[in-house]
Amino acid sequence: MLEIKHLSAGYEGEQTLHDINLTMQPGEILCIVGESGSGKSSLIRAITGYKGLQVTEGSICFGGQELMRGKRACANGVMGREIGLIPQNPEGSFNPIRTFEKQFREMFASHGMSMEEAQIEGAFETVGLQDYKRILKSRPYEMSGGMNQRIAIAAAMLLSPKLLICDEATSALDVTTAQLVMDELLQMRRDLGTGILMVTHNLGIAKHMADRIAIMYQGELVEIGPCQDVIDHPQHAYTKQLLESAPRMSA
Amino acid sequence: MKEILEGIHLNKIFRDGDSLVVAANDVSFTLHEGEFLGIVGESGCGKSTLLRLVSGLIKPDSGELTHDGEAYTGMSPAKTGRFLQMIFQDAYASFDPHMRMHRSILEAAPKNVSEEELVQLLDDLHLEAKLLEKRPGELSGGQCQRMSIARAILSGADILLCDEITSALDVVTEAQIVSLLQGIRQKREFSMMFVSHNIALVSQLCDRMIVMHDGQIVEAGTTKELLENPKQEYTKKLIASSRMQSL
Repeated sequence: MLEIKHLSAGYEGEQTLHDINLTMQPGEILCIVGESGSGKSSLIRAITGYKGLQVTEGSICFGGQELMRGKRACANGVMGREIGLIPQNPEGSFNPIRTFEKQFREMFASHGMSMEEAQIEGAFETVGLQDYKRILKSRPYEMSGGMNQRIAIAAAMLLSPKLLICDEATSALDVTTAQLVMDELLQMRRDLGTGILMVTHNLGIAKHMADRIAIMYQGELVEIGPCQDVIDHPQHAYTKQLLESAPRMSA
Repeated sequence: MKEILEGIHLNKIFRDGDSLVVAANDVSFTLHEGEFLGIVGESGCGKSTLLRLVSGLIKPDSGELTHDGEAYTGMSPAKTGRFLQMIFQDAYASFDPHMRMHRSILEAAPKNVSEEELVQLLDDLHLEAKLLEKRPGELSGGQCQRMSIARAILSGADILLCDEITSALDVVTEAQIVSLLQGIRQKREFSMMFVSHNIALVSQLCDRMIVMHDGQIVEAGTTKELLENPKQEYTKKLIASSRMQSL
């Protein structure tokens, strides 16, 4: 479904991705784990065609179609319906002063769909949001960061994309809310076969979600393999260090 | 174990516009000498408010605080600083950006602290003495946070109040700080209240845990009891979710 070959990219002379190669099968959950500055977000920006990031080399194919046009991927045709994105910072994905209702209506219309309130109610409930009518009448600036994040997750889910990219989608959420979102993502994969590319700094989340785990460090993909293999038999020194450092529930 | 700190029926209500937020609702707790007490819960549960009440940064509407059996409710932070020190999430913001670390750290310390004592403590925290010449902006987040731990310990206070002190750090640095705190505990006598949303982290470090929700203590017990046999529904949900998000 997704195939990235020899991808190198960066910002104004500073290279943040070095020769990344990875593929994703339809319906697969791949977790990309790394710490701040490891290049995880750059990778997502490269796939989604973020304007500030320049791809210096490599190709990005989605569903057999090459997305690269010049220095960046052109994901216009596929973003939203085919590739959904749940950003780390939801404030960046909504207009702060327009109601959610207007923004949701617009989102559906731009993908040729009509807005069904029952669907929205269901999506909101799955991310733990009650009283959908009141939320639809509200504006993003009136909401807390956690609320906006959950609404952004519901929005991405409503379009049921083939590939859902989650950039630290749960890291700003409380642990019980994060659990609701993780359960819902797994449910989406079960029901709709949605593939999920999940970027996280939390190996614990990766362990419970991923089919495969990729570890990034200083702009390189240093290790990739089936979830349990990476956790039980890490190969790279950095992966070993991450595994040793991750807190475990223990008395 | 001797009780070193006690909170009795603490209440605190904040006004947020027209609405009232009950941040501490009849909160009572005990910290024993040498104990590491974890305070866990989700955003807005009142865990940071509890630390602020204990430190004297804010005053309770009602209730009492005692240190070593003596009431200190309403005492200013300048005075509570003799026996307790707070460490914050943002280490950079807790130092004067223009001041070298040497001066910042000794500012809170008793006059008779020797240079050897300082260097020994830095060594225990895996900090090189030459970093004392730096200003906070020249240190990494982990170094700066270890400096604030050094300052708190050097002040002579025997209780540390830690408010999400590793939340801004990466997981490798976080693990290092937790292991340093465990190491220092073997060498120096101090007690700690450790606030964190990260239950796995608290479970590794603390002897007992308090679970908070909506300004109230939902459940308290030894870490082992709470992890293995949580009684309240909320605690069960919190622990189950945390298990699914840790290794």
